[in-house]
Amino acid sequence: MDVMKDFLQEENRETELNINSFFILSSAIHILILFLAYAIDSSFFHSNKPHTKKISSYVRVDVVSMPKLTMNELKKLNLDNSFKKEKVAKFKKAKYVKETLNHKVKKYDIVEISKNEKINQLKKVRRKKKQINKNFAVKQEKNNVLDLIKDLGTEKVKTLKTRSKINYGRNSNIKIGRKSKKIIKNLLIEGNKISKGESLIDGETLSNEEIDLKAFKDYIEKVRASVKEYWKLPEYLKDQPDVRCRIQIFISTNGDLLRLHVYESSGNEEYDKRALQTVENAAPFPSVSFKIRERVLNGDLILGFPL
Amino acid sequence: MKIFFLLCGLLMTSNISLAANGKVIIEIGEASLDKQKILFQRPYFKDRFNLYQENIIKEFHSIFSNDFGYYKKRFQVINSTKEKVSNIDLNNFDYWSGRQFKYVVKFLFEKGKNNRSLQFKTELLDAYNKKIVLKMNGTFKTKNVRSKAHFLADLIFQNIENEESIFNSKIIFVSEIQKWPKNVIKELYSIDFDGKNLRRLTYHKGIVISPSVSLDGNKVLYSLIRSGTGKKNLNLYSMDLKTMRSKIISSRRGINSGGVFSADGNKVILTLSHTGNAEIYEIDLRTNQLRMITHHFGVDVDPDLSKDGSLLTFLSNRSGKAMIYLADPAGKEKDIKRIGFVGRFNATPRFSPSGKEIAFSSWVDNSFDIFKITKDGSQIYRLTKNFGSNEEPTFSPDGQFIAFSSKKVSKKRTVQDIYIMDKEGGILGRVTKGIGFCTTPRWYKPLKF
Repeated sequence: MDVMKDFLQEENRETELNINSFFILSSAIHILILFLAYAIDSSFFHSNKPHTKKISSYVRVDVVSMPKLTMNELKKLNLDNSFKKEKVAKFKKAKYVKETLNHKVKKYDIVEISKNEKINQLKKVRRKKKQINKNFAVKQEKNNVLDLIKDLGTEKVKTLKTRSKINYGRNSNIKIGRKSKKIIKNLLIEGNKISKGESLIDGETLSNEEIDLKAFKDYIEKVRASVKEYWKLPEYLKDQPDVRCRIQIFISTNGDLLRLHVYESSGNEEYDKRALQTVENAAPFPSVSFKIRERVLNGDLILGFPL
Repeated sequence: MKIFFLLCGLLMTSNISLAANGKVIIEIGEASLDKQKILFQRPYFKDRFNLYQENIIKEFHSIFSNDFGYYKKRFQVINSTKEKVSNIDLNNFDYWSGRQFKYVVKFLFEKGKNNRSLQFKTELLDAYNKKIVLKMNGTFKTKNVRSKAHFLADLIFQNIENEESIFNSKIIFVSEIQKWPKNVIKELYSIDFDGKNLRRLTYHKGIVISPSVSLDGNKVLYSLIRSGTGKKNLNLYSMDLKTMRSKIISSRRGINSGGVFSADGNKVILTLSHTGNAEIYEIDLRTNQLRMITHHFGVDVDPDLSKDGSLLTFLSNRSGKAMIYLADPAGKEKDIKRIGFVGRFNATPRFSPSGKEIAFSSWVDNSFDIFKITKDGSQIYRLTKNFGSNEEPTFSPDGQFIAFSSKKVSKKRTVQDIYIMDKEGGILGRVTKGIGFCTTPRWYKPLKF
């Protein structure tokens, strides 16, 4: 019996050993297979070929449609816009005048006044209107950025005592608390302050050389405007691209054209002739100031047709 | 340093630049267009004429003002009825230049030797430069009054502008005049650019379509569907304008249409569909050899050649919609480039004489309108709008004008006529009136006198 037991026990042990070894062996084989598969895959298929990169490209698509306006309509639009600018300028001027006048009108000062006082008041209003028009005209002339910047530094602004108060009472639609009222008030005060700012030129006033340069530049603009008025070409010359002619001019103190000659020819005789004719038609020019007469007399001015 | 900065600022804000040696270059800018005042003085009669002769002379004289009126952007034609008449030998240059007349054209008429013809003397005067630019003498009969006047007007124009005008040009077109209950008949006609001298060219009693003219003005190409019983095919014909005789160029199965002459007139480029699909081919008129230019499963039609023959434009739906393409006609499917990307349906692309622009019609807002596109396709301009349905544009020989057909539909009737506009879309006037439905105009310059 014991022998039988031992025998059986040994058999059990053997089978257990066999099963265990089988598992170990099979897992080892599986691992080997996996390893081999990985090794073959990586070495066989990917060894010599370079890595491919994903390249993304972009295609620009402009979504357009057939034009709605004809060529003539487009031209008219441009003309209308320039005409509109004049209209807007006039409207702005009228509004500007109205606003400045209205600012002076006091709502609650309705008091009976005598005839003489009325006449005096009317005279005052007329004087103010004139002044306002002058100021507005001066403002419009100053298109030059430099002038505008310079003027900022030298402008004197009067602080007006305003009696009229903004009504935030019960009748108004705007509801503002006490704190915010203070903030607004402070902002308004700060806004009325004017600081010197920065100018292109050191110092507050222009030197003599700077004044001369400015005078020269102003004279150049006048000459350009007067010549441009007479600069006309027939279509067969106008259509020619890359044609350029330069004329050197010598002007006396009176503004008379002393001499002119072709500084750089366009290559087209008729084009040069028309440019010369334009300058002759534009003469005489405005009189020249003493400061710049030398430059103008020595032929420092060259007119480029068109550049 | 201060001056340097100030100068830079000045230069930046104004149209001036510094040349060498401290000189200042002032840019005047682009010139405005100089409209030249021209006066066609009333005729000076050296002899007495009867009423009939006087009317002929008036007609002769009126043609000059009328012709120059087409170039209204270049010339201001002065009303001669308000101006004095003087003998041809008396030239008052100071008076004319004082009135800012740049050119004055004077006429003198006297009776011819046989009293049947009229002799004239004409002078073109440059009032500003005080010189006689052109002197002409000649005679004309009642038959050739208009052609003579147009010829002289063109001569005057050439002396002023150094280029040819449209005064000697004509327009060829198809008109549907006789409309039978069942059969529609369309024939070929020619007319002067100003709407006079209408002339019928074909009497096929069939349907004529797609005419085109050779560069020298000698021959006309057109397609015809003959009337009558039997098999009908759209064949291509060529007509000699001297002899008025027609002959078949191509009668292949299907479409033989849209033919245009090459620059030398020895080849024809057309649309054929004998292979089952519409493609563009070239036929050599001397050898009758056929060469394929386009080869695509899309439909390729409506070819037009540039004046120098180096570029071909055509219509194709290879992208899905009818769009405009360019190609090199020397090869097969060579350098094909699509330049049209917009429009629901585009048609009849036509080169300008310079080859820089292509006019075409496109379906927009429930009708056709005329557009033009630059050769590289970068710019499209609209030329017509709210003017009926406008199609089939054709440039004038000088490239300054475009003729097109315009259909106007009202409650009572439908009218289709040929109109002329300038190259920027300014309508100048109607060419045809009361000649039926006029379509497919082609502007050309006929044989020289």
